Amino acid sequence: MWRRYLRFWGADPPADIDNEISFHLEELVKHLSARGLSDEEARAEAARRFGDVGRVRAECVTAEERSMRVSRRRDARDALSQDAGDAFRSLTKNRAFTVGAALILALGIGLNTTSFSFNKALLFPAVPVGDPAGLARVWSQNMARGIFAAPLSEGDVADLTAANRSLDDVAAYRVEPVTMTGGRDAERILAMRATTNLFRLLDASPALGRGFDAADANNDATLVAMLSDRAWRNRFGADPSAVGRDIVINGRPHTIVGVMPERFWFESKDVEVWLPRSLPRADGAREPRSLMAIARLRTGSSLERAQSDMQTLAQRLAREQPRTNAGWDLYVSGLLPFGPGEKVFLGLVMTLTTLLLAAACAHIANLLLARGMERRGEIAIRAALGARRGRIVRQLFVESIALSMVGGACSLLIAVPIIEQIRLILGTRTPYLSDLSLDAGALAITGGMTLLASVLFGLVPALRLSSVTAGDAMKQLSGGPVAGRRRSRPLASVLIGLEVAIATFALIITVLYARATNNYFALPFGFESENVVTFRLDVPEYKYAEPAEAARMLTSVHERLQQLGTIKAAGASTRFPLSVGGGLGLPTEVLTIEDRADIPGEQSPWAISGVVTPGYFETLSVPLVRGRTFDTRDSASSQPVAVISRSMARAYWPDNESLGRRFRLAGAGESAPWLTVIGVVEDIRPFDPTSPQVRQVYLPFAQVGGRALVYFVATVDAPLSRVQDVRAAVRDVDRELPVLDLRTMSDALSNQFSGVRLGQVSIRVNAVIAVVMAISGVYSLVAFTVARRRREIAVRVALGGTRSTIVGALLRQSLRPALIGVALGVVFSALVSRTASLVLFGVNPLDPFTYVSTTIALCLAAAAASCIPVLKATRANSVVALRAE
Amino acid sequence: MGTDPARNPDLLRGTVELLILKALTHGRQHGFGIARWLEDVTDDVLRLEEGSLYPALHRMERRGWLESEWGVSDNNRQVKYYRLTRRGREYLQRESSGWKEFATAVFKVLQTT
Repeated sequence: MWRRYLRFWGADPPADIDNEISFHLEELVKHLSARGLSDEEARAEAARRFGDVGRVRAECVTAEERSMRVSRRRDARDALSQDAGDAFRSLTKNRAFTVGAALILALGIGLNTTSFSFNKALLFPAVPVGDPAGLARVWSQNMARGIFAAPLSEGDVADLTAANRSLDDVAAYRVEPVTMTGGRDAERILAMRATTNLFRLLDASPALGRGFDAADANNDATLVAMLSDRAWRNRFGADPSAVGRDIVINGRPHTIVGVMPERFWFESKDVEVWLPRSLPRADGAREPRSLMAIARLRTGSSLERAQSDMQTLAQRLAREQPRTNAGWDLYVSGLLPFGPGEKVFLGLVMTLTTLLLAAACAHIANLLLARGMERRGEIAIRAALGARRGRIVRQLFVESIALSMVGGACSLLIAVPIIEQIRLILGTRTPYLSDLSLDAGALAITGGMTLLASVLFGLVPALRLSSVTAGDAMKQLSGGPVAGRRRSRPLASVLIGLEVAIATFALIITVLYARATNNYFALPFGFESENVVTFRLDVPEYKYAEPAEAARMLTSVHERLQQLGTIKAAGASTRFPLSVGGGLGLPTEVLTIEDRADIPGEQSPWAISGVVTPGYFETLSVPLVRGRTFDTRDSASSQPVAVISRSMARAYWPDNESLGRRFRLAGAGESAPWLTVIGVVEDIRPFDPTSPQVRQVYLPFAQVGGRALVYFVATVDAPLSRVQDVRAAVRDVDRELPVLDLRTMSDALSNQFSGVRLGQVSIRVNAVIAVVMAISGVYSLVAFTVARRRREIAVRVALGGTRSTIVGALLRQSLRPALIGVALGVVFSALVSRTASLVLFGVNPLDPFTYVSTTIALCLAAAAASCIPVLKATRANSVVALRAE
Repeated sequence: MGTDPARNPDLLRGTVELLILKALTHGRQHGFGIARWLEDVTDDVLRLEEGSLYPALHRMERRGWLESEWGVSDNNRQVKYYRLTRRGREYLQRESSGWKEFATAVFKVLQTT
């Protein structure tokens, strides 16, 4: 008697009923066996005699429910606070579910917010100019030489200003270092020399004074300048009377006419002063290409239309100026010039994260659906106990909202630090990312979507179940036969299929990209970066006015370094051995080769040029193929010489015959002396390994000169321990000359490749999450299906169903959505990866190894995830299983 | 509800309940024991689905004719035993005399043809 009441309050009546039924069935089988029936027959006969287990059970449960309803009808309580309390209790009671769901939500929202914030900052850069979307840049492009976007020549800018139909206005400018005196000290600062229409075109006006007039650029006009807010504060103490005063730039006084607002910047935040330059003229030079051009799109025009106009113009120029323009295209970009690879890559990451969001929503939906099914009983009981339908809907609604809020809050913990990291890594390299922060709109959109998904799917069980009677719901609990209920959870199956498809896609792309980046980093750079320190010197004109003086100064630093006893070798070059991607900023030179007819245009010989000191190749361990490298024999008065790369040697001369051959830089003119090839060195790989820019020519610093050099110092031991020696060496030559960008070569390189690595990481993170979600999704679907049928499975086992047939039936049924998902994922990957071949650095987008291995891996993972619950259920003691619910 | 609709559910239900009550007059018993007793005494003629005993037992318990308790079976398993309450005993007496009269009446009608 007591016991009954204890059980009544403590345990659940359905378990007791299951216990009774299973006892009966077992005893019946024994009883029948004792009468001489075989095990098989006894089970079959027992099942026949007992009748429908599910129906019997449901009827018993209903009977119990009714008695409970009679005895324990509760007053309806309506306060929302109670709903919240219920939600809290329910969420804390099912901790695994809550943590899992909140984590998925946090990852989904967090990563997507990050990705959207990042992409938005790149695609719609927040620049302090009017209507940035209406701005277009025009670049020179020469894909045959691996130049994706280079500046323009004076003549080309003039032509595009005159001939365009889609551009309203074109401004030309160049950022250059100048020496400024007249504030406090003489200093080397960055200036932008721009056509006077630049500010009007950017729709930016000065905070103080006036902007440039067209007349300011006239040859006979007084020299004028505009200051940045920073320069105005630092050099003039924010004194409004600075306007009208003079500053001396490169030795000539300029009148300050205006000060730009604090938040204004264009191109670089380090530009401190703007100077006017005259408009480019059509009879201006077609080489070198060193002018940047920015344009305002005509209203109603688009980048695409401007691009096609520019193409026409480029073709015309190639005909009219074949010597300088054949092979050159004009390329129109938005404010940020994405290379084709970068575009593809951004698109890929966007696709991945968007799909991840979809997968996260699907996953949440699935979790909530499964939970809803699990809670059918609970909901049915509540309904039976008199809870109104609205009340149940409200409770589930509050639960979903609470869950989303937790997830949303946690997502900030993920998104904020990641965004900060990206800002630190990339912000120093592109000013457009230096203000990168979490985008509220992105957070609202991704958060809103997941909220919608969780509310929608959180309510499904309420909408589905609160309309049926408790008895019906209870009946459903008992489940039907294994094979006959294939479409028991079509919605869940679709969601799982979707998740698996997304995971497959993410995994294939990740493996492809991982193989690509492995290829990328596996290719030798062509030089040694271990134990090398690098720094930069930039010699100011105000101190060393004569170019020869500047060159002498830089040479003596080099000599001083070579005298250090603690180093192995030292050398310098006008540029870093690898340059930043997309062919930006690499100086290419057209060559005239002796004893060979000048071929104008596309076929003309060319090479990337660099100026180096003796010791450069030795310091960076660039192998010498034949001949010699530069040494003290090469001086301003000796025969002009050059060292060339192996690829260049191969491209322009028969094998082994390049030494002693002569060529000329076409840009230097007919009167320039021939350069004699004295050595051939191994290629140094360009940033983009598929680029043809391995044709390189090196000229001796002693014969060319210059104002700035990047130094490389190879040390015997840890490179950083020699930093003091290096600084001392520079100080010995000039106490005041600042040592710029002093760091180890490995640091410099890792900075160089931070973008590639960031991409690698972001793709991998996406894939890992997608796969984990998909596999856990498959697991939970199967586990849930099996749990619902556990009793039935146990009965089948008890009644003689062989385990293998039951396992087979269950697996077939639960693996189906996963396998369909894998197939869809493979097809989608095949479609997308083709378009991504640009960033795959030579990896076949349909690489069979990748497709086969990922497909197998995912199928195995899905099968394993399904097997665990199925095997558990069929192995379980039928009694335990029957009692489990 | 629950039994074969082809038969007369009310009649059968009433019958099953009476038979259960009768089975329990010999002392407490579990569902399986009731089924075996029924099989023995009816010489397997009734052939009712044994599963249908359970909804009946639960129903009858709710009406207060039976009470249940958890005990241990011969082979040491936890099992639910049912026993008659005073109300159940009274109901059995009342109904079985009613049944006898009904059966006699039907028998008479059948004999007269």
